[in-house]
Amino acid sequence: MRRTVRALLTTAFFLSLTIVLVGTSLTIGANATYETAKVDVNDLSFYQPSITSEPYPLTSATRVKNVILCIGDGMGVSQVALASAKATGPGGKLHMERLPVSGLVRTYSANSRVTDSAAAGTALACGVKTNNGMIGMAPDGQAYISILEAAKAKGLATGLVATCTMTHATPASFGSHVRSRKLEPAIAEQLIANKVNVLFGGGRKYFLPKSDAGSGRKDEIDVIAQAREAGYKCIQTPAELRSVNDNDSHLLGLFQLDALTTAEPEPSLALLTRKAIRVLKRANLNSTDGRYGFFLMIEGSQIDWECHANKAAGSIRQTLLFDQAVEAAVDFAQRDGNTLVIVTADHETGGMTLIGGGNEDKGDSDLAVRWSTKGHSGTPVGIWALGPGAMRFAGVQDNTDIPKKIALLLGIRPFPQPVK
Amino acid sequence: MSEGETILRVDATYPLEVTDGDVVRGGETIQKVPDTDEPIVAPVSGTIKSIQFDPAHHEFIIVIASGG
Repeated sequence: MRRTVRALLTTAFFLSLTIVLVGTSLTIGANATYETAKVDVNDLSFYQPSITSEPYPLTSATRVKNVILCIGDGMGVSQVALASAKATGPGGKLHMERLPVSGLVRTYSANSRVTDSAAAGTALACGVKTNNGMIGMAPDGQAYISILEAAKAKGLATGLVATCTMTHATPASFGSHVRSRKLEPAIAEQLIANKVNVLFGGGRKYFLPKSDAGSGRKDEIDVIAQAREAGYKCIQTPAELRSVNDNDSHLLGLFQLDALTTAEPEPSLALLTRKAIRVLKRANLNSTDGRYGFFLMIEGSQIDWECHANKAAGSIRQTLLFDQAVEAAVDFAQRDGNTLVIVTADHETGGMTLIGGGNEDKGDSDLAVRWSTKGHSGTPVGIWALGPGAMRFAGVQDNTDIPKKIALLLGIRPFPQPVK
Repeated sequence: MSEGETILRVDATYPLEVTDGDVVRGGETIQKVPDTDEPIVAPVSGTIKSIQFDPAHHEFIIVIASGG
């Protein structure tokens, strides 16, 4: 009965949203470059709320074999609260909110109180502060090994899954080192040279030579050909994803020329997450004696973009798509027992504030949101954790502390570590 | 773009000093960039009609309606 009531209340919330964008596209200035997904942002029927708001259990296990780091780009505490209120109703919780350990993360960069995704990604990946715009290196240009690279060097399988281009700032921070986030063609080459086992996302244009239709490169380097030579299986359609053998140890899945649409028939972030986990689990078994597990970073990239546009409905949809991926990670972690799941954000976007509404008892299901900027804000973001070692992520911490704690739990020392 | 409107593309790596509806003078700072002496400034006087974000190029697209 409670589940039925919850479902009805949730449906009422969905219907209360007022912004409808069916079949519309966002035209950006004179040189329009990015088309939004042709979806009804009000339709949140894809999301299945938890049947309980109880926290997932703490574990007594101490050994961390696998780490899944989930990053909601631009996902401040208000973005989580808004999506939670819309999708689960009063008292409900998103999957990420049910992780048993929580805290706050400071996000400032080396040269700005308000970070961008490059400096924040570098902090989360390499454990060092850098200037906005820089990827995988300190302000002086010294490159630092990322936690993904360090995990790989220790024998773990590795993966990056995102809904942006694979060369965008957050995934780039875990698998490349460049002075400017805009050097996406160079980032594409480095991701392949790094032999990250699983790369799932968008941005095929930066992997195609200039002469190919839709290329975003200014040279004739064919990074997809380089990937094949390096042993990658390259895919770009849902059918190809379905046909992937879990025994394939290196996968390059680029499902759009540009960012993902986050709409069908494209594979969802949750589906990509589940597939990546299966492949990484198998990849490690194939390549070593299976002792070492895997490191996987998952990014819900487009929460940020919706919040740059100050679109509450889009922010809710993207946060829920991300939460589905978190659920997939938690499902695996609970079955596995030696997997640490961390959910956080690189920064907040939009300066979103919930200013009222949403009191169901008074028949008011609309939530009122106010924005303070079209850019990022400097407010701390949330962090949630589950699995062995989760307690280390409780309390207030700096974003550079996160990969340091992961390194400690994986037995990686020293960290941070400059690239020699 | 309508007549009397100026479109300005600004790298989104750092925050903007202006928001929708602000009235700016030509030469007024729109964005401060750390470690440089040259902020991004408004090329014309007017009202900030809109600010949009272009994720593909990681830029703000600022439309200034002249004469505001």
